[in-house]
This record gives sequence, structure tokens and C-alpha cells, in this order.
Amino acid sequence: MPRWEYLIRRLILSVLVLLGVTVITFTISRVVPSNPAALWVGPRPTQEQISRAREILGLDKPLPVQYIRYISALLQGDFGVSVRTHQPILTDLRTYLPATLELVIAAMLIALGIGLPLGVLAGAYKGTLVDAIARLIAVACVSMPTFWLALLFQLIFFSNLHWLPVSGRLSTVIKLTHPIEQVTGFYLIDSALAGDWELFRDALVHLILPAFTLSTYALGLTIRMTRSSMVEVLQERYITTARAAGLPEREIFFKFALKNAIVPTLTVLGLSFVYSLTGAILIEVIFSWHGLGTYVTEAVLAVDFPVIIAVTIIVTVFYVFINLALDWFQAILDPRVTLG
Amino acid sequence: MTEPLLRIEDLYVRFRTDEGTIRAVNGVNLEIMPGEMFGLVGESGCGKSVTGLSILKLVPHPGRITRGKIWFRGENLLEKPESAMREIRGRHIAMIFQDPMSSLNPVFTVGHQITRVIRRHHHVSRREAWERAAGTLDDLGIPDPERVMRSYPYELSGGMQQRVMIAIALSCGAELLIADEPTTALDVTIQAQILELLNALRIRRGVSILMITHDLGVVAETCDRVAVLYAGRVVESGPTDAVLQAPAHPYTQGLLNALPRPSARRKSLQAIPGSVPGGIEEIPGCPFHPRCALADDLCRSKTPIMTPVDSSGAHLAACHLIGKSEG
Amino acid sequence: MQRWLGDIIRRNEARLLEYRRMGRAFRRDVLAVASLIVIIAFALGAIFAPWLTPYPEQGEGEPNLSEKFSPPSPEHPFGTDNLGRDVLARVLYGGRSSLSIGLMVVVIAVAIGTPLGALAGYFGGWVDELIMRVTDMFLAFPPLLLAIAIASALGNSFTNAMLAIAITWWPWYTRLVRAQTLSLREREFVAAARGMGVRTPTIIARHILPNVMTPVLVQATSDIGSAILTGAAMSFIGLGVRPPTADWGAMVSTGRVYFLGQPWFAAFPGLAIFLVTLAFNLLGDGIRDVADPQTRRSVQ
Repeated sequence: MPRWEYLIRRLILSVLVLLGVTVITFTISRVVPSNPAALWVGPRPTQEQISRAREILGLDKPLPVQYIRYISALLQGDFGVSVRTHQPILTDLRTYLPATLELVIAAMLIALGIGLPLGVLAGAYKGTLVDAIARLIAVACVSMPTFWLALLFQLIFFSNLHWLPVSGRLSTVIKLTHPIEQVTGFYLIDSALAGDWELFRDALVHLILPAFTLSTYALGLTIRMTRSSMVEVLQERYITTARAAGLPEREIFFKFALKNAIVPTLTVLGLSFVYSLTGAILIEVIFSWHGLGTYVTEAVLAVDFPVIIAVTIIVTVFYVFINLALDWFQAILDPRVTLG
Repeated sequence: MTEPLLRIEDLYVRFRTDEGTIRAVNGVNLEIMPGEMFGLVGESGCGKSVTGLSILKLVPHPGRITRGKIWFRGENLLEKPESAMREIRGRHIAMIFQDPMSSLNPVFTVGHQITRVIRRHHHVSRREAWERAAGTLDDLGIPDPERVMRSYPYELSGGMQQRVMIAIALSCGAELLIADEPTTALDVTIQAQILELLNALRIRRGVSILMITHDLGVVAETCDRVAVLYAGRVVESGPTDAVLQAPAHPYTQGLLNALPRPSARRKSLQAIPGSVPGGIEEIPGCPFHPRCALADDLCRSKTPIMTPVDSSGAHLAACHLIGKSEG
Repeated sequence: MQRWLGDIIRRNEARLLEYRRMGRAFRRDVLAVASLIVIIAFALGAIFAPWLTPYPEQGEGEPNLSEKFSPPSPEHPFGTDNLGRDVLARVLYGGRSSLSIGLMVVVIAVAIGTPLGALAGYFGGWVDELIMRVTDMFLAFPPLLLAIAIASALGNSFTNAMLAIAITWWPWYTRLVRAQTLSLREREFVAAARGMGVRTPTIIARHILPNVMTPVLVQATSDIGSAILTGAAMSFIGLGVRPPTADWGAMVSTGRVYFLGQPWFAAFPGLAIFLVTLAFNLLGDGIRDVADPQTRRSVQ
């Protein structure tokens, strides 16, 4: 099967999954709650607000009609209005999404940068001390309550060592003296574009603790996955061929074996990316990082239901497209993929 | 008399597993002369592949070479450090395997894989390595080498893959090629072509080949001399014609009887009763006695040593019955 | 018929032997045994909490404002919290909600996922298509966020939080069981039973389900750890048990405000979450190692 045909088939499947996803969110927001109009309005609704919400939501119409209206609104980017901020949710997302993405991408780079070499070494030297240490780190990482680790990091690196700031995306002083021009919403990129290195440095030191905390789960998964696929690949005949040709071990591990072993790792990392978008919820609260997480947590406390659903849909869309991107990447890395 | 290119002396390999220690190789001795095609034959599980891997010191975990010497060009390989072995692998001794598809790395092009090995052992530019690789492929009779080199392994046929493996093995000018069941996974017609190719290489380039196979037919067609392996021991060895026409060991006789021969009188095929021992329990006496119809008390208690079968002294077998039948 | 019965007996005997071998291998795994001990200790601590602490009423939630923020001492080994309650008592009591949410989530998820997976794998065709597409859709959601949305829609309570997490979890078991069933369906003893006219529900109950239970149990063990972690995250946000009931995630959530000054108050419940999750993960790994025949590699 030609590569483009394979990718188009994957694309169509993704659209189908997204359709299914909207059915589920529709069910959660309109069918499951005993009084969806009250959820839409928020806590302590007046009778008038409820009847207006019933009209807006079209709750008097039959379910299929409601669903079609729901979908067409979503397609226009209309996620409704936040009960708490009275802003269209789309506007809120524009400021919060980049903040979360900056944090999550940094965390994924950390997970990949540490987890991949550690996983390769653990797999290559299976059964040795390196392997035992790497496995222990991995299982500790996936068992770690990140919200708790975040507190420990703050205690150690802020309170005791005074190395890093406790929270926020920028220091107050810097924020006042260095106005940031929002281009991408990623402070690191925006400050670099503006050539303001003091701002860049400040943004970077603020990013370190939350990014490392957020990376733990992905780090654990990356180590585990890389290790196990390395163990599997290293038993392959072509590894013996490479050894029989006298190639150095380092090249066998990090090039010949890794290119075969890396696909499952990337898949896991893609999944972790999406899980980290939700994992960021807890971390953002602790580090006062104003992103999707703080947005959703405040929504939970204020029973701001439209926001919860909107964020769920956004993150799910990310999930589906990241999976698509991974398929595409896999097709590039492994020439055999498009055969199946 | 010329010096042998390779001499294996008293080689022992053990695998320590949870179920017990597997005695894979139990004192193998053999010599390979320069330019010779030497057959190592036996059923699967007899230790022939492990013997081949031992020469390169690539016995897989948890296996270990516990005793013996492997002399190559006047040096004992078993005393060499890993770094020195890496210089020898691919450069002086090369190896090809049964299933060419799984022996080639699926995610790199053929050209990448050949040139990488060339550049490992010779200080040449990428360009020169590429041309040299194309030259080797051309030399092996592969049409359109450039196209083959730009292909991924899965895009080639099994026979072509095995030719590529041979090209990788010989691109650096190895003196010894270890061929572990090189034709088993291939179609009959392709088998013949590959064997012919190996034979031609031996004659043209003077490469010695250790042909590891379970197929006596392959041995009969290609090998100058042969050693029969059973339970990790050489039980019979000698010039191919002598061994195949006058097998002295009951096991070799059994193997020959199990071989379909259209020319021979129509005698039904006979499988050897029983199966190859697992290698965990130590068998007292002759390792073959539990499956041997002629075994007596001596066979059950004393391990036979290799003794000359005929006056030439080149044909040897490890069987107590040899002396008896003559004396 | 007799041959068929004999086959079943032989398979049961083989399974028994296999379990014995697994038991022996398990006992050699120090980490797994230690994990089991940690889990049992936490479970006993939660069950017998009222008898293990001198302050059971504080464990239940009663404030003791005269002793606010006491650092760890012989009377209060883990210190006291912002309402003066003994943190050790709260951690013991908190184990009740955290352990039960972990266990119940997995039980519900297995109860939904296993039969669906068996149906999809056994019948194939449109049944399979339908079940697996629905599964795909649920898998497309990030679990924590979907659980948050469901718990918000159902209303904030312990049971709803548990249900919400379980709803995000079952598809994994459906996938696992379907894959196992697909290979079992083609096996001789299933074909024999089908040929003898045994009814389909009986075949699934007698022949398919018992054989998929090992991988399901392996998966479930590790999952209890992750479910506890998810439950703690939910209650950290404020979804799940309501105060004054003790819960580890909620304790860390309250304690984080005071963390830089009085770290003990969030540190110990957080440590409890970490240790229990770690123990379940290690136990799961240990069971996987002894149950997975692939790790026993044969030598050529």
C-alpha cells in the first residue's frame, strides 16, 4: 500500500474516533446529568437562567437534533461561555493552552533526553547493576504522586537550597520591567524572538521545577519501554550479524538496535504527552502556572461544566492527532510499516 | 604440510539455565585448511551453531566457553581481549546465518549496511566504500548493484538477501567464512545457486569455508572434509567421500539412511530412533548409546575416543565397534 | 466424551503444576515478596485503624484545635495537621478510602471489560467491530480528565469518583481479553467443546474465562497502584471523599498550603500513596515475571 493511501486511511479513522468522542462528551454533558441546564449555568442558578439555558441548549428538542446542533457549534470553535469568567471559552483557551504546551513539551524533552539513553543502557546491560538501577528509577517514577513530588522539590530547591523560584512563570520584578510580547505564547520562544535574554533566563529557571516534576511519569514509561524493546531487539539475528562484522558495541546499541527499538518508545511518549496535558492539571496548581490545568481545577471547584467539557475535547483532539503524527513518523522510520 | 588456518582444540561450551547446566559443546576438535570447504554436520541441538559462534566468541548469554583453544593464524582467539576480537570479526573471520531476512537489519538500506562494515575495517571515504560495496555485489553476480544497495532488505528476494549477506561477509576480505545453514531457508533452485556461489568464491578468492549444516546432501556436493557432531562431540571426521561412502559410526550410518537417495536401491527411509539428548544430564559412556542398536556394556560405561578407521589415517570415528569388527 | 473429560482434567492438573512452579519462582523474588508485605501491612493498618491509634476519633475527623501543627513527637510520630489531628491516625484511616478506591476501580473495570473482551474475541464480526470501536473512543480520552468530567456530571461523591475512574479503565481489559480470546478460540479443546454441542455461554464461562484470568490478574495488580494514584489525584483536586473523612490525596491537598513551614502534614500521606503504588507496581512486575512464559527463554 502506498504511503499516502495508508495515511489517508488513518486520517479517516481518526475523524471517526473524534466523532465518537463527541458522542461521549455530548452524553456526559446532556444526558447523564439530571439537570444539564443547571450544570450549564453553574452553581445557584435562578429559574430564569435555567429556562434560558434550556433554550440555548435546545433541551426541548429531541436528542438527535440536540446532537447535531452540538456538533455544528463545536466545528465553529464554539465551546460555549465559561460560567465563572463569562468569557467565551475559546478566548480563554488561547492564553492557557500555550502555557500548558510549553510545560508539557519541556517535560517530554526531559523524559526523552534522560529516559532514552538510560533505557538503552538498561536493555543492553540486562541483569547488571545499571539495569537494576534504571528499573528501580522507572518503577519509582510511575508510582510517584507528582503533586507530592512537586511539594518536595519546592521544599528542597526553593526553601532549603534557594536555587530555583517556588512558582509562577516569571518573577514579579521581571514581569514589570520586561514586558513580554506574546507571539506564540511560549515564553521561552517569545523572549528569544525579542532577543531579551534576561527574560529568557527568568522564564527558563521558572520552568525547571514544574517541567522535571511533570516529566516523571513519562520518564518512567520511556525507560521501561526502551529497555524492554531493546532487550527484544538485541536478541534478533541482525544484531549477531552486526557483532560478527566487528561493529563497536556502542554503535550497535545506540544506532543499529535503537532505530528498531525506538518506535514503541515514541508511541509511549506520544501517549505520555497527552497524559501530561492532564497531569499538568495538578502541577500547574502547585506551581501557580496559569495554563489549562489551573483553568480546569478552578472550573471543577466552581462547577463550571462547559469549561471541563471543552478542555476534555481539546485534549482528546490532541490525542487523536498525536497518534496520527506517530503513525506517520513510524512509517518514515520503519520502511515495513506501510505494508500491513 | 601446510598449517591449518583454524584449529579448534578441546572446546567446551556450557549454558547455565534455571533448569540446569546445558552441555552444548563437549570437547570438539577440528582443523580447517586454507582454501578448504569444511562441513560440520549434525541434527539441530547437537552444538554445531554454538561451535560456529564460539570461533567469533559470540556465544549468546547465558552460554560460556569453559575450556579449549581456538588457534587462528597462530594466535589463540580465546585469550584475545574483546577489542582485538572486534578487529578480527568481519575483517578476518566472517559469518552468515540461516535466515537472511532476519540477519539483515530491517530499517537500514542494504548499501548502508555493507558500507558501514567496509568503513569499520578500512579507512576509506563514504564514496570509496560505496563503490567497493557495489564492486563486491557485482563480483557476486548481482545485477544492478546500485538498485540493490538503495533497497531495504524486505524489498529483496531470499536468495538476493543471502547474496547480500555473503557480500557483507566478504567485503573486507575475510580468510574464513562461517556459513551456518546458509541455504536451509531457501528454495531448492536458489540453494544450488548459493552453494555454487560459495564454491566459486572459495576457488577464486581462496576463502576457507566452515559449512554448518544438517543436510548431508549439501556436504556431499560442496565439502572437502566433514566432521559429524553428536551431543556436542565430533563422532566421525575425514574426507567427505570416505565418510559418506564408508561411514564408520552408527550415528553417521543412521544419518545416511535417513537421507532420500534416488539412485540407491529402493530401501525405505529410516529415521534414527529416539531424539537428540537435551544436554543437561550427563550421559555415561558413548553419548549415542541410548539410540544405538549395537550398544553393549562397554558403550554404556566408557566414552570412545577418535580412532583411525582405515589405513590412510585421515578418516576417524569415535566408536568402540571399530576395533572389534576388524579384530 | 471421556476423551474430552480427560483433556479437561489434564489441563487442570497442568494448570495446578504451573501455579506451583509460579509460586516457587515468586518466593525467590525478594522485591515482590517485600511489596506484598507492604501492601498487607497497609491493608491491616486501614482495617484495624481504630485499635492501632490512640486517637481514633481524630482519625474519623474530629478536630483538636489545641494541638495544631505539632511537629512529629513521641505522642504524634507524624505530627498533627491544621486542625490538630494526629497525622498517623489520619494516614491509617485514609488508607481505607485510598485502598478501597484502588481495589474497587479495578474490580469494576475487570467486571465490565472482561466479558466484553470475551464476547468481541469469541464472536468476531460485527459484535467485535462494535465493541472495539466503542473501546477506541473511550481510549481516546485522557483518563484523568474524563474521570473529572464524569465525576462533575454525576455529582461530587466518593462513589461517583470511583465509578468515573472505572469508566475510563475498562477498555484496557476489553483489549487484553479480546486478544487472549482470539487465540484461545482456535485451540483444540474449545473446538472440541463446540463440536460436542456445548452451549456458547458455557464455553465462554468454562473454557475461555478461566484461561484469560492469569493475564488479567497480572494487569489488575499493577493497575490497583495506578488507580490509587488516580484516585489521589482526583481527591487532590477536590473530587471524591468529602471532609472530614480522611483521604491521602485530600490530605496532601490541604497540607500543601502549609508545606514549606509544616512539611510533615502533607509529607506522610504523600509517602503513603507513593509506597502503596510502588508496592502494587513491583508486585505486578513480579507476578508478570513468573507468569509470562516468554521470560523463560529456551536455548538452542
